[in-house]
Amino acid sequence: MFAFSETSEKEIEKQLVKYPPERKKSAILALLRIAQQQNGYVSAEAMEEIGRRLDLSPAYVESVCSFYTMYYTRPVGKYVIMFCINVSCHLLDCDNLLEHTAKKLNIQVGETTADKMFTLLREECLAECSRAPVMRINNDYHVNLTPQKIDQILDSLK
Amino acid sequence: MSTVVKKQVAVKVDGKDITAPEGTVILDVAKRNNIPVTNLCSHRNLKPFAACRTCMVEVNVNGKKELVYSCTHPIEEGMEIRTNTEETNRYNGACLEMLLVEHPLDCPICDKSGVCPLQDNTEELGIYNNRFEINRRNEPSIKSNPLIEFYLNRCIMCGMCVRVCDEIQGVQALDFHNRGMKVGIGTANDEPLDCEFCGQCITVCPTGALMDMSSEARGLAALFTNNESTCNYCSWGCTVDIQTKKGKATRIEPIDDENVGINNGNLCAKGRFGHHIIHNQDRIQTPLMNVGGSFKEVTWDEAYNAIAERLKAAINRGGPETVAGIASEKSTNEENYLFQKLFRGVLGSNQITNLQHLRAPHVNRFMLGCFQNGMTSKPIQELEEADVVLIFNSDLPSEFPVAGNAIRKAAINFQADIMIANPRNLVFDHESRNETRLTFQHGSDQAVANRLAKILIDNQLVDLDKAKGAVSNFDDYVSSLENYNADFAETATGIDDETFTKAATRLARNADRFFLIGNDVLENEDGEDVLNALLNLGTLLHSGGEGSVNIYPPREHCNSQGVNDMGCAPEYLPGYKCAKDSKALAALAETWGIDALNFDGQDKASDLFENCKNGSINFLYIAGEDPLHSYYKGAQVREALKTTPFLVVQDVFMTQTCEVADVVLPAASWAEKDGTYTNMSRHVQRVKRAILPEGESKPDFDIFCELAEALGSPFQNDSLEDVQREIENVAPIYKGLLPGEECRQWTPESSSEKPKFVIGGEFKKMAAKKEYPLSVIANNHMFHIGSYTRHSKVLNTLAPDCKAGMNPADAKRLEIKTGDKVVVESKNHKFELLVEVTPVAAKGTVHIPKNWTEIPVNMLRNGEEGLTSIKVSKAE
Ligand code: SF4
Ligand code: SF4
Ligand code: SF4
Ligand code: FES
Repeated sequence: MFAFSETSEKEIEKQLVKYPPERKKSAILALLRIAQQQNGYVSAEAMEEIGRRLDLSPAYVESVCSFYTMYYTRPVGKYVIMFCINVSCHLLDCDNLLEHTAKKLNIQVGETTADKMFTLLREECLAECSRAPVMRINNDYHVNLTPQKIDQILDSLK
Repeated sequence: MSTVVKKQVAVKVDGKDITAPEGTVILDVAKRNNIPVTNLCSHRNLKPFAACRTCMVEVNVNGKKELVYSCTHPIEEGMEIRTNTEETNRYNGACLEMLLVEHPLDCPICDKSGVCPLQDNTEELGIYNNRFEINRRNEPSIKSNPLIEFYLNRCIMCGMCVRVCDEIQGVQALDFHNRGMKVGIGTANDEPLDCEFCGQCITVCPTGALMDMSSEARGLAALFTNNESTCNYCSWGCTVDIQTKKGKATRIEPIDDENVGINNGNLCAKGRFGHHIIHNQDRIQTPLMNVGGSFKEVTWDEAYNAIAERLKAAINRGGPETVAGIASEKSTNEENYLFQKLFRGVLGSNQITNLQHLRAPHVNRFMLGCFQNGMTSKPIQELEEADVVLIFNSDLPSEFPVAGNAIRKAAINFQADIMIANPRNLVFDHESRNETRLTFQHGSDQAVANRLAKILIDNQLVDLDKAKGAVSNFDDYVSSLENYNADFAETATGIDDETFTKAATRLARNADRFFLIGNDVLENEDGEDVLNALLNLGTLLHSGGEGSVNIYPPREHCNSQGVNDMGCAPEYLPGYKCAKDSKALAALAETWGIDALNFDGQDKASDLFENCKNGSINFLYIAGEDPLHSYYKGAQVREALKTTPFLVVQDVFMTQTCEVADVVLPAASWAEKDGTYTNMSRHVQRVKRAILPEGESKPDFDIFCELAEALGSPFQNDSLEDVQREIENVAPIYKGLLPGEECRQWTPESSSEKPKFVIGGEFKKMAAKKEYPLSVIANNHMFHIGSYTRHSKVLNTLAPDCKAGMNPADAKRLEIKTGDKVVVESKNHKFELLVEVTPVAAKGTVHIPKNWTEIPVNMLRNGEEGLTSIKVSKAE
């Protein structure tokens, strides 16, 4: 069962007033974000609940939710590492850096470490080409990456 | 046609001058003018989307050339359009090549093969070599629901299934998952599909990604034989294609063409998937005779002789009016015509009726009243262009699902007003922002219609002088409405006056209005008053308002309209000629080549079962009905059939009524015969034989002809064509409409009588009794109609159990939860069934689908009219 917390409810209220009632479905991105903030990811039950609030079917909510890579549909670790794999990073060898990271964490890309600390994901374009290669960990950017730099960052988070 | 007038725009397509309404996209203009443009993600019923990128055309406006996607680009005045240029073909071809990178080439085993837009477009653009590296998907097929197989390797992400499910069906069961190379179609959380199973997604899919699993025989569509016929379930009358392979009916598809039939390519679960009633192990195979309490197989001759003998004996003993017949709402027009001819012409009895007419003779009066008042109603196809739709006490998604499809289009294209007047809180999703819910207390239908009329008059929303001039008893009507003030109406219906006023105002605007009336209005004793109130409301709008009023009588089964048109009612000869009119009778006698038609004026058919009970009927012939299960007063029928000395029942399945018959005749199913049905909007449509009759069964048509022969008075006309000519002759409203290939609506003969309001009964509030505080709302389940569908394996899988719908408030009070078994008890009968607690159910009522023979809802009622009062308790 999924239920919005009191804090979430307050925020939902704030979001809903932004849209005319017959267009409340426009609040879908906000509600997905609120659900994720609350539970760390958006579960199927959360999508159903959001659908109920906005008169949308769970299938519709899922289509929006799964379109955006920054909504997580499964539980993630404390730190979510988003590794840019787009052109600039690619030219600067992000593939090997990603592999290096995966090896260090002892997981495959897309997985979460057993201690629930790290989740490693590929990301298309983090809009930071000038300082490629780039990864994002939760809300922080880490730029001009090298294997050594990655090791340092990860160690500092343990 | 909606009252919204669209400007005509002139364009040139490949040098040809064409005009089309403003806003039409180029592709639709091309399609309607048979100009081929490749396309894979566009459908006339759906909003523009542009996913496939294979529909590019060149446009030139004011000398400026542009390449545009024809499925999203609207036409402009003076636009010159060129299709299939070297350049557009190159672009369109490249996009198609990319789609083919992933698409498996398993055409030889694909259900769509031969009727596949992807194949056609590949051919059209001549993609014989793909320049890209092939990267086929190879995921397993998903068969987690009973009916629709998802083989998504073939999916080209056109989104048509997603859109049709949302825009046209209002369900949103399917959607895209993920994006980029990983994008796919699916249900929420990949759960098994659980939806209305209309199959619309299968129809629009341009590939074989979605397939109908209802039949074991699958494979190349091109190898099936197509048989265009008319659905035999509800009275909406959808055109279906019964597809056969090696003499077996294997599946049913719609014909996806807006110019065919009335359904614009849509079907519902029953019509599409309910075909297992054709080849079915429960079918009656041979004639049966009841010998000492058990049935013995007999030959047709033995059966005919026994029937003929008993008929003659009954007539000798009590006169012709002691033999009576019940015609079928599911037999063809031609069959019903012959049935009444058998009774009137051969046996000399006018005691013939049908179950709807027996229960509610006022439906025909209502229809004729509409005609008299000038409301002949447009073809129902125009519902797609309605401005206002009043859905009056109809559980539309279950009763007329395909009407819902048309209404959703009107919602998208015209923001039509959708007014839902119903005691239940029905789910009906659509894209109109103008919805009014008139959720009234069970049994207060009449007050709803009358309050609306009163507001139209009091607030002068229509031109009262005009109405008064047009309708003779206008003043009487006004005074008959005196009581219906705001307070009275609110107490009676539970609807506040603001809502009423809003609805009345929207109804009054210059609009094409469509009234769809559900069979639920016939449930209560005031059915006639309700219909009259609606007739009057329509008349008021028609005579005093602008636009049009299109109002259709409630009809339940595929030929509930036609059975009455053919004169299977004691008051009417074919074509609604008065059965007491000596001139009409003389003309009929002449056509039939008999001396005279003389009925002695007795009317036993109008209260047939009562007359069976009291012994004044000696012989009853029920041709294709199961009144024991389906007639609203089950107990009365039970006694009537017990008392009747000789009972013949003709049916496809061994129904409860067959079980008590003296002779049972096996009838052929609708797929095994030719003829016509007439739908609720009076469209006469073709029924086509797709396969040979099962076992020894015969079409009703043949049975009636052979029986006439056994009685020594064979019909002169016994071929379908001749009988159709005879019908056109005796019922001029059918002139030129048979054999029904063109799907045209019959127009009533112009009436010489002046328009009149029908002022009738006072509104009486129907209250439930203290001991039995709840009332029953019984109608057809979404996946069932009548009792035939219960023989359909797949429809049974979709809806295996009969569930009573209860409102959460009532359930809470009685401490009942979803899934509980409860006892439903009236003064006369009780049974147990499962409960589903749902906000759709109205407070104080219990909704029970009437399709399960083991849950005889009609036994709850005995004798008394009005609400069926019950109590509900948790089963031990
Ligand atoms: S069958 Fe109808 S309701 Fe079900 S997914 Fe397909 S379109 Fe939607
Ligand atoms: S399943 Fe068919 S209709 Fe749906 S997106 Fe794929 S190809 Fe289009
Ligand atoms: S809406 Fe009625 S006529 Fe159309 S397919 Fe369904 S049951 Fe048949
Ligand atoms: S039909 Fe126009 S983009 Fe698909």
